[in-house]
Amino acid sequence: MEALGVELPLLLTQILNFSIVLFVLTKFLYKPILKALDERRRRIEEGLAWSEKAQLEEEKMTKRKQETLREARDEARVIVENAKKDAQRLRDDIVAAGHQEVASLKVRQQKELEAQFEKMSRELAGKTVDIAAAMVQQILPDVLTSTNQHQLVTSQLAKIAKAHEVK
Amino acid sequence: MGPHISLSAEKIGSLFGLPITNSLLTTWVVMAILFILTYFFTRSIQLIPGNLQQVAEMILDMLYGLFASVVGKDKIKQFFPLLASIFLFVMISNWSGLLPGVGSIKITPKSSNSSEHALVTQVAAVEQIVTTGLKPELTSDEVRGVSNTGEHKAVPLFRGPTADLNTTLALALVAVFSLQYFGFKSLGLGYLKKFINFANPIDFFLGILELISELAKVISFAFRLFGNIFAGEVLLTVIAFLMPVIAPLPFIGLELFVGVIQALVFSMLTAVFLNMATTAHGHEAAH
Repeated sequence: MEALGVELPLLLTQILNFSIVLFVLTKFLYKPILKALDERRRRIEEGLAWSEKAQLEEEKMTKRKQETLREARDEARVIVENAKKDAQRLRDDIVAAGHQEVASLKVRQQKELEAQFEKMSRELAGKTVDIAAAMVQQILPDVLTSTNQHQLVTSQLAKIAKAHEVK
Repeated sequence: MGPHISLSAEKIGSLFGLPITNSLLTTWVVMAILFILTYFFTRSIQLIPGNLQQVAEMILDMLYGLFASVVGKDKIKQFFPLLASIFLFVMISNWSGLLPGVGSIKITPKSSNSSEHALVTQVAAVEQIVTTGLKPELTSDEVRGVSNTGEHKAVPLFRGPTADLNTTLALALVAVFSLQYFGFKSLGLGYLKKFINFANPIDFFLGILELISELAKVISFAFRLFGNIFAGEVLLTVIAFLMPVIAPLPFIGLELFVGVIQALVFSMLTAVFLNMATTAHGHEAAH
């Protein structure tokens, strides 16, 4: 072994040297670096898991949103339909009421008209006689002789008297 | 004067009675590089990484995935520091031998016990080669690493740590020791059954073979790495001696590749053995 240069003190020194290397590198190189690697791996895994969760959550949210939207749309349709029905009914009611009103108005008008007509015709009847008398008084003196006049007047008076008596 | 080739690391001084070799000095440089890189890589760890942090994460994540594919996801946490440290340390060590100046900057130690040793820093081997001649004069003594020229011979200031058998043997011992440690830790005394088993004669002999194979692991680990890296440095030295310009470039590229591969082989084999040692009935899966 001496020919190969192996000496116990040198051998022990080299064992010690390597032990120092082993110790120092373990403490100051491997541990911190591997820890950093582990830490990063952990963080990335966490991040991936988190993003997956977020994606699921988002899908759920989207589904719920769509569901809500559909429900809202259905509801809106129902409301609109109801409103339409209500409006239709209301219109029918209003129209019916209008018709009735118009009918009753017409009836009242008719009665009023009739009453007025009667009243007017009564007045007219009264006035006709007066007008006729006036006309006769004006026209007859020119047309008739005094005899005729007298004759006519008497006969007329007789008629009137008759008519009055009949009345 | 031929290229300087020595099988063993050269002594360049001593510290508190401990001989300091050039490979030991380079080991400290490699450690310094690793620690400085660690400092810059982890200076500010953030959730959103900066460039340096990203580089560190990329390297470590790659190693983590590689070793996890061998030892499984549940054991990797336990083994990763050892495996990654082996890989990084061996790789940087292998590459450090390829740096300019390593092997070429030389000093002449005054004496092995002197505290002031770095007296003369000579020029690069490349220049020596250029000025002294083209033919390598390797003596068998130089190849075997036996000192033949006395104390005042100039020696390289730096030498790749893994081109020294002390380093590779130390790594091999650490690796094989951790096999036993993790084996006992995960299987308890049942781990011993792999080696000592009286259930039947076949298992008994297998146990003896397993014992020998543990020993063989140390030797194969140490010599595989040392042989590869040392051979690469010898190759580069010889090529640089024969033709200093351009010719070494492809070999340097090759050695960069070998450096990664050997680091990978060492750490992957450790991972495989660790996986076998911590799995019950490991002998059934053994070669």
